[in-house]
Amino acid sequence: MTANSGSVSAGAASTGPARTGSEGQPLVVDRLSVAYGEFRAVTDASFEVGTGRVLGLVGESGSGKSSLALAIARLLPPEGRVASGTARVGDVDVTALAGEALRLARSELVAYIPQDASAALNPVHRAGRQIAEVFRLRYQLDDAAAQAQAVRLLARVGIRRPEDTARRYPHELSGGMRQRVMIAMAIALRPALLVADEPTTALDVTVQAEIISLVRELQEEHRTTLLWITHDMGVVAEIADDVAVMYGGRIVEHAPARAVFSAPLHPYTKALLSSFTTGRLARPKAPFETIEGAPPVGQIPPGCPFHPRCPLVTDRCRTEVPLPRGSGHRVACHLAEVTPDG
Amino acid sequence: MADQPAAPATNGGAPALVEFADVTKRFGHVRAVDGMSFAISPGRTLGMVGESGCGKSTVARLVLGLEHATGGTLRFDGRPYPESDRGLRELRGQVAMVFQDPYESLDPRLSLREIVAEPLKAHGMWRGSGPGRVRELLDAVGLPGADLGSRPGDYSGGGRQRIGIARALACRPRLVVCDEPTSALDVSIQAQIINLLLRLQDEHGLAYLFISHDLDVVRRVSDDVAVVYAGAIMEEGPTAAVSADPRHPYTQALLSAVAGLSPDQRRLDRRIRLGEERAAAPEGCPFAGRCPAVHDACSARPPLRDIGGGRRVACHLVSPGRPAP
Amino acid sequence: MLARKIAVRVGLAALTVLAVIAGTFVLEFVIPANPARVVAGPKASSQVVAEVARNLGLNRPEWQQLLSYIGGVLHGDLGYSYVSQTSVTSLLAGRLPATALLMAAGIVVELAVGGALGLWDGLRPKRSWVLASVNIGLLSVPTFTFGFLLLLLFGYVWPVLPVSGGLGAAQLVLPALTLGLLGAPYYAIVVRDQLREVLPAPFVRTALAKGLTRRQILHGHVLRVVVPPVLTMAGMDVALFLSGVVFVEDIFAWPGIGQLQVQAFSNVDRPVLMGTVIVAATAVVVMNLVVDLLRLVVDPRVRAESL
Repeated sequence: MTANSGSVSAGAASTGPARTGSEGQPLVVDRLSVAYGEFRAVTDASFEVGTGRVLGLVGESGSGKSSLALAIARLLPPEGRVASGTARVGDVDVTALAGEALRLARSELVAYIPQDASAALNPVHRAGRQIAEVFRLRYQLDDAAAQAQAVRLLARVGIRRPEDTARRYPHELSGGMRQRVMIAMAIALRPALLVADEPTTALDVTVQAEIISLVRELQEEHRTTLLWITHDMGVVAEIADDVAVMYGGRIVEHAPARAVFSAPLHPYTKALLSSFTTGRLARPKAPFETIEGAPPVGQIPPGCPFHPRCPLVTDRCRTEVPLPRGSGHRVACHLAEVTPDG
Repeated sequence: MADQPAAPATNGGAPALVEFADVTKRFGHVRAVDGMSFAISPGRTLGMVGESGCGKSTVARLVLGLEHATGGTLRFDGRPYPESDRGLRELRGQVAMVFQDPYESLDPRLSLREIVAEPLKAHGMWRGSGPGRVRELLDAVGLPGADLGSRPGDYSGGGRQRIGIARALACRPRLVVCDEPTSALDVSIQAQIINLLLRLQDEHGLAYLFISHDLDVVRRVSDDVAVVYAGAIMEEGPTAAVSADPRHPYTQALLSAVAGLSPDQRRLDRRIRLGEERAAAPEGCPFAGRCPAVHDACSARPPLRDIGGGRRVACHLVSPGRPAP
Repeated sequence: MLARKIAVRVGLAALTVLAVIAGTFVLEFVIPANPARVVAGPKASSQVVAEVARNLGLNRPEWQQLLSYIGGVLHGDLGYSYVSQTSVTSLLAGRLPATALLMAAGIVVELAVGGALGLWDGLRPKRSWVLASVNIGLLSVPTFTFGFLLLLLFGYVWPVLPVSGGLGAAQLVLPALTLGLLGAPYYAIVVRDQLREVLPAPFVRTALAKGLTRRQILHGHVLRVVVPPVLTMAGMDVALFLSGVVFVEDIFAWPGIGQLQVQAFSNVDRPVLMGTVIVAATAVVVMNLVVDLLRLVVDPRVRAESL
């Protein structure tokens, strides 16, 4: 990648396809399945995210959203594997990479921001050094230059005293600051695709707002393609251009954010939204809207994974897996009304 | 504290079940709880909301008698909190707790029967009616017909939380302290557990101290809410009033940081931004270090002042009748 | 802050040593021998024995003897050997370097063998039975058995190494191997367990996500975190070694403190015995202190702990 405008340092050079203008590349996932041993965490996930757009991937535990994210970032643990399907970032199929090509892809193509920043930082290295490492190894800067870039990035992610923070160890920083360090590390890589796996779930509400604003800002500036995983519809509302809803390892609905919020088609999406909005709006002591039952853990039921909890369940739902239908607004449900253009 | 009320007014006129007056708890140099005064009325829910480290978990422990306060007065049912072991045991028959982590708060090697029976046995309520009570409790929390010999490991997070609630209710407590009971649960399960708690409150006239960092949840379950920062209450009052018209700058900032309802209703850009912590005078307002409206008067600590409508606010900028800054 | 932590640790170490000295003094009353009789000889009359006793200061009350002993120790005077009439201090000083050399060699063997085994097993994706078998084998063999075995194999069956004892590089090999190989399993296990704990850790995943090579990850990230527990073990190992050293020095006739101790025991030479105990205990305390301080330097999380 040649150094593009606003780049790291004059003379920074690296190999790879040239990227001009935006850094982002489109993400195309085609029937991706992720398994741990015999257990399928993700089955036949297909979706696309256009260059520089933000996809909010929503689901509860057991939905497979984290596994999907890790698979695309090629960071699955040793027990996990991509069982079938592909994920392309630009024209590179990341699922097919191995060895040195894989390492390069990790450092140039896809960056990953985890949920728990405290565990994700090396406890015995100072914060600045962990960011500077990217500049030393990727852009071959010397120690001093790399450290200077690290400090610059810390300032960019909103840290007030960047030199001071760079000298600190992770355990000396607050949760919000650690997450900012992770974000700094990720953007240092100038990725084509940024995968953010619930980065604000463990944070206080004011800090969460700061992080969401920050990521939105950076994403807009670099036009990075962003895949943001969450269970919180509010976060989706604030950041996503498009939404994909996962349940039981499958994508059950996928559409532009406005469409999902104003006219959800899948019963699960409807229930999620309903409990989200009533949760915010209703008066105190009024009962919450619930979905009976619990998300599947381990064994995923046959047919539609949601059928044990669905108020509209039919016999067909119990036996036959619904496939995604529609073009602009896709939904995987036997009973949903799919309009010709949606 | 000049105009600090000795015992905060309770709604409904009923005498308070729990009364804290100017309570402080120090751990070494750190003041985890810094002069808090509040009351919990029978049958009602007081919600306590604040960010991590604000001291709300310490409050829970104080209410349960698991910690002794460094200063101030604590009353249960009009009488001072007991100091003796025996007195504390009796207290714990009347105050129970539901914990945040359903995976950590249940002993994985005990059976359901043993878990729920334990408090009954501890308080001498086991003989005779005990076994039946265990079944009754599990039914009440939505686990009818559960196998009494099963173990927590056989249940999901929501199921375990129900077991924890059954255990809490065993001795017919008058107050249940809920310390982030839904934070570790999935969104759809959270709603179920909240509904269960609300129903049980209705049926048994329980009082709740509901502690959480989740504004949505606290707003929905609480009659009154207390907003806590750095071990002190910044604002307190009926939930609907505080949510609709927050007076304290911290409450306003918290509420403004809540995400919008839909992509057309994004609101984070317009939120009130708090600065990074600046050094604050130890004798001043605990929030002064980050407050966007800070000024000279804030180097003296504002008392928690009654502003009418059952609301109290600790801020120099707020007085009865004056609209929010 | 850091200075305070260091001072606390050094102070505690000094107190421990004092307690050891006082405790050792108890030996004085536990060993069933009358020192005056030993010095005077079995044929001396009781008058001579009484005279000797008075000279040795044995008539004074116990607490006085204890205090004068402690005072002596703190000045470096550990008394005189009953047998050889030389100062215990000089006896020990003469022998200490040999034991220190042997221990150092033993630790090197331990770290090399144990570390290699642990790394090999820890980096493999699946557990293997090889490490466990080797460990069980080594851990089951007592020191003296192993020592004699090695002596037999390499001193007599294939006479490649000397059997005569004394100082020397060739003479160092077998005793160092005995000590080292038997201690290696502990290190292998620590290294392997640390690796298994650290490799799946989120921060290693982060390093992977940054595009670092396997070697960069291992050297830059993993080993830094694996080293502190190994260091702690090495420090604690000194204590283990000091008990094993007695057998090993005796078997291989290595002229160190252990050999001295064995001789003193059979001669009931109390001052020498007490001297060796004090030196050994002090060495343990000092090593633990050194390791503690090193950990403060190496692991920043330890610096943050309250004490």
